[in-house]
Amino acid sequence: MMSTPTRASTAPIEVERPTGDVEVIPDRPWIVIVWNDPINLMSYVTWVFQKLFGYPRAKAEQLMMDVHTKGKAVVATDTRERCEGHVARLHAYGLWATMQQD
Amino acid sequence: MGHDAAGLMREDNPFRRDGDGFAVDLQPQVRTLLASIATQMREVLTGTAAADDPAVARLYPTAYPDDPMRNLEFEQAAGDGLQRDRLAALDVLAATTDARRLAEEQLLAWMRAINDARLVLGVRLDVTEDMRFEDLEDETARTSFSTYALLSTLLEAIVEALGDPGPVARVTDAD
Repeated sequence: MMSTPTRASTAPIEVERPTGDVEVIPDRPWIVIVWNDPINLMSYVTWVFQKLFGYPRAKAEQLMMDVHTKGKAVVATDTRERCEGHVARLHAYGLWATMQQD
Repeated sequence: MGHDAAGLMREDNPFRRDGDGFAVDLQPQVRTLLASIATQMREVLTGTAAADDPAVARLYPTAYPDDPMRNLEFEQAAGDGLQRDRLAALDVLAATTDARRLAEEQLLAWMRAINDARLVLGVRLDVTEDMRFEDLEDETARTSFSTYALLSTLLEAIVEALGDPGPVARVTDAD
């Protein structure tokens, strides 16, 4: 850990700084990705997106088609904690979901 | 993604919204099959081989593929709850396979239990989006694929019967 230069008249104030190999950027959002698989039905995936995220059917269908044709789609952008909730719920419905920092 | 299932059942949707629940009009042999699947799925999920079973692993995907430590934390936090939910859905299915009427919550449990069974069967069969019955030569695989196709038809019908989910508040982290 590095410390700030000590001023003569006050107690030293130590400040934690990034060490360079651990970069912490708390403001970067997290994303939830749903991946294509050969089992989940298109209508079911659309329904789950509507149910879990409250998306209108058109948006849910577009995301489903992105998953189907492009192999994956970002279905939510949120804090890490909330993304973990999204991923757990998607897993509960049997969808293949992962998360990563954007 | 799987395409919409071919119609192996009668053409009418066996699930029909009826007041605040759903009328269920299924043939006895389909109900018997569902009861058998509920029993088998419980064994698959709770059996001693579950930890090494790729079909079971499919039900619990890796949340953080690039971060094993965080993924371990995620699994420890979410895994038991997911397992409980799955077994609870199976319990509902097992207890209501003969029901002529289901509450919406019960039909939602059917939906999840049926899709879990499809995932397990699908992994075991190594299904592809375009797999057809005729492509399979092995009798056991053919039987499994017939079951898989029937479950697909049932799931399709349930989704159609449920219709668009109502507007929901943004989900929270509360579980």
